[in-house]
Amino acid sequence: MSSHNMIEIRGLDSHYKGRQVLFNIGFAIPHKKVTVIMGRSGCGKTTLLRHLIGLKPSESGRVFVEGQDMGSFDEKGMANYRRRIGVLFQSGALFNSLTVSQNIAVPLKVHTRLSDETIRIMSLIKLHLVGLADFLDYMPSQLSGGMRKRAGLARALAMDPEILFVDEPSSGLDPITAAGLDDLILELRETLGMTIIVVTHELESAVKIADQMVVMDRGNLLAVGTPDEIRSSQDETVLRFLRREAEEQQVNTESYLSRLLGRQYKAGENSTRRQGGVR
Amino acid sequence: MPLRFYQTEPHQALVKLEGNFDSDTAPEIRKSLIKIVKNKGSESLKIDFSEVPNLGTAGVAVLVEVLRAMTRKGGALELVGLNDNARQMIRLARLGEIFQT
Repeated sequence: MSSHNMIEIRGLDSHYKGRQVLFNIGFAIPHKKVTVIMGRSGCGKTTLLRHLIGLKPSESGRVFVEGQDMGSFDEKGMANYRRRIGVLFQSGALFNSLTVSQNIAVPLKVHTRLSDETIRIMSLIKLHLVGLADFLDYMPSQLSGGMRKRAGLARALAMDPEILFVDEPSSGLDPITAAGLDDLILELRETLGMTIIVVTHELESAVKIADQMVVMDRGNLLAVGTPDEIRSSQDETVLRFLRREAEEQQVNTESYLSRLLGRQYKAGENSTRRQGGVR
Repeated sequence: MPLRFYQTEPHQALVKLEGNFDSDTAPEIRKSLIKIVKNKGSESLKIDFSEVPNLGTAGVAVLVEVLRAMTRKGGALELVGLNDNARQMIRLARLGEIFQT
């Protein structure tokens, strides 16, 4: 395994409610780079993210962090890993009963012995970084969607993480705010040398911030490469994704009608029985 | 984290830090620095970072506290020997002007 890799995923399968959602995923996430995982909604990228942050154990396949198998982490090992990572969830995931600054302070109070004053200054620094220094005492419900997301980012950065995971940074944001968040992600990589993993379906944002792009489709890995390599791919599915073309969905009509009618339905039975047809 | 204090002149003090200045070490360093500022009566405090490989936000926050305490006494705080990581951390906190990095 290369020492330049922060995380390596090998042969990862995953299931959700009995349905397989990831199929033999394998790629490496390099140190101090921005890796963007992208694909259409429901392609399995958020499930993959949950594996990478240790919220979902691997059923088959492995996730290595700097060469260590995450599956071998005991409770302490997992707690140490979680101290090294910051996660910005799609919704921002703020505590609604706490002010913005109290939200930022939560991980610092839980994981450190820092004084209240040091924590207060740290919270202010992080909120200034994301452009929310004037909103310290606001409640999350008083913030716009974009501001909540930026507050969530400030909290994800509270512990100076080595690895930052960001789930759909642009969703629900206007283009200008989204571009500002992209710039901040690039600044964090440049100044702090953070390893950053972004999950998104926004192609423009991905091309702007990615050192490496990972394209997924229906739980499968389609392509891994630099934005230029991905754009010059000859793979038809990758090209279709880049052109934002809709694909014809494979619809299982029998299964759909069986669920709807509450009994096994066979294709064509309606035309022979003439029951309830639309004429 | 080792912290060494030198009274270089009657009203000037030098503190040499060794090791990371992050959320693990900041509580102890803070205690020592605040004590030095309160008790030593120095008008000028110089902190040498040449043996500090990593400065985290917690370290930056403690420096803000020390700066405030020094300013209240009419004194000055100077940071020397900062490596690139430390300079970038201070700039990222938009404090480059205050600490003149």
